[in-house]
Amino acid sequence: MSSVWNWIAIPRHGWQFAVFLCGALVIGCAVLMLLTSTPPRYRKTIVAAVTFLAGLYYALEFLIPPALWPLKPPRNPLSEVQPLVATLTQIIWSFALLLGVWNLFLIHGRAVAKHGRGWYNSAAFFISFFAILGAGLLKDYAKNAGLSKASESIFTVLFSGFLTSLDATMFSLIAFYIVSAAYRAFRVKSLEAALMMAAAAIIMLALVPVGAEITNWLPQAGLLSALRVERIGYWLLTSPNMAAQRAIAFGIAVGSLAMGLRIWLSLERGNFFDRQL
Amino acid sequence: MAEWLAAHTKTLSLWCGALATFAIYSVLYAENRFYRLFEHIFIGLSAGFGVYVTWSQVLAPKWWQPMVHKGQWQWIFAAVLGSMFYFMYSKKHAWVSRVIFGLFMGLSAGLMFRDFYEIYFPQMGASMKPIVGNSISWWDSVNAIVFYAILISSMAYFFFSFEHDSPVVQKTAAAGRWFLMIGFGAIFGATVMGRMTLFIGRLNFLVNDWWPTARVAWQYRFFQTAVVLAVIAVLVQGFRALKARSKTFPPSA
Repeated sequence: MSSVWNWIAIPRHGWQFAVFLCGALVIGCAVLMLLTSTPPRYRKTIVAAVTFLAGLYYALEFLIPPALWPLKPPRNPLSEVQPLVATLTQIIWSFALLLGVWNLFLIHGRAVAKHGRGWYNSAAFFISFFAILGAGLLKDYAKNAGLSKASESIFTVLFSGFLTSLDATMFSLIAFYIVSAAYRAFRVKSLEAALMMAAAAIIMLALVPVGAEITNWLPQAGLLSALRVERIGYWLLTSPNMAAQRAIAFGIAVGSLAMGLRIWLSLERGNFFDRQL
Repeated sequence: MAEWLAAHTKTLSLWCGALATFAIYSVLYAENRFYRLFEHIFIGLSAGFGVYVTWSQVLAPKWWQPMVHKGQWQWIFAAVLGSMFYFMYSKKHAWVSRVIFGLFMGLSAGLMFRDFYEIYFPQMGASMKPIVGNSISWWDSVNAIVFYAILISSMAYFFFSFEHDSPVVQKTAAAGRWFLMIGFGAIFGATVMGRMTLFIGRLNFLVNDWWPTARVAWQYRFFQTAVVLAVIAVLVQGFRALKARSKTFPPSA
């Protein structure tokens, strides 16, 4: 068994590489074809089995201590392949990125093809997409030094000039919307609303110099210094807020564990899980 | 060309950054074409950068290079597994994509055990703070008591496994709701200030980084003409927006 595995794991070069690669592709395609021709009554069982086995790997890797494995020296063989599993999942997950890109291409491609209202915005999407991707790849792979240098400059302009500025500006825009939404939505009609508003106001005041200025007449040290706005803000963040956040986190943890068990054992119900396959 | 670009990269980045900042903030007045264009540029750049980073940091070093340059042909199976995501576009064989999603859901579920042990167990231990002791001041004791009171009452609010019939549980849960509101207020305040920090950062960029460059550029006739044209374009756009707004919301008689 071990010798077969070693024979498979040997790196191949030249014509052997081509043969093994094509062979692996043929096997992979055969498995996919087998999956596509699976009768509907077995499909849910296959999905449940794959989910269970995938979850079982991490569960066993974590729960069974090395001493319980019949190996010398004591070790957990599942832990040894963990880096490989992590890399493999990262690679497979990376292939999923193109799903989102494909959807964007479909939407904006249709807009450009139809020449509808604002089609030039969709064209700008394609230009910016290929500009940063092309500049990035050329800067890494171009053999011509001049082309590589020019690509690096274009990439820097697109990344530092456009992308980081657009990103920071877009997120800072939320400051205006969040304040506007709070002004429209918040009404101090109950004790809970008043507590929330007061906590938010104190935290905001504590984080700006004008807040500290309000209670600057209080001493820097001693009992009365605890009443300074910045101290109250800090205390609110590190004591009551921390305790409330931790209570929420513990609730989330128990909920995630229960949810994880339900998904692992395919007990979860809902639109995604109950759909006929 | 390459030399000129390399010499002017910083200046170009400054001007592009300023243009992008003005374009996005223009939406604060009204929805406009300038904003829409830059919004789409942002989406394109983000998606393109995402693909570039995925290739250069994951797929190229961990998949392509070991496979092609080191002869590790087995990595081709990762591509076969990755291709399973794309079966979702086929109505007939969409279920095949469920297999790979099932694999990832199973892995995430299995990791929950580890997360619970490694993330939440230390937090539970850290929450058990000593109330009295030699090195504990009276203020630390007060803080620890406040911490316990809030933690227990907030958790009582989240107990849905039994009816809150007992007055003790009812009162504790009600207090928990008040404390949670203080927590949410603190989160809200910190979020607003975080966004404000970003806004101040953009203003700082415009005033301290871009403005000195713009003042130098003002010496050139070409730049003065460009600015005048840009101001005219903004005024025309603003006038059109005002006109459109008055059509949508006609002034009351």
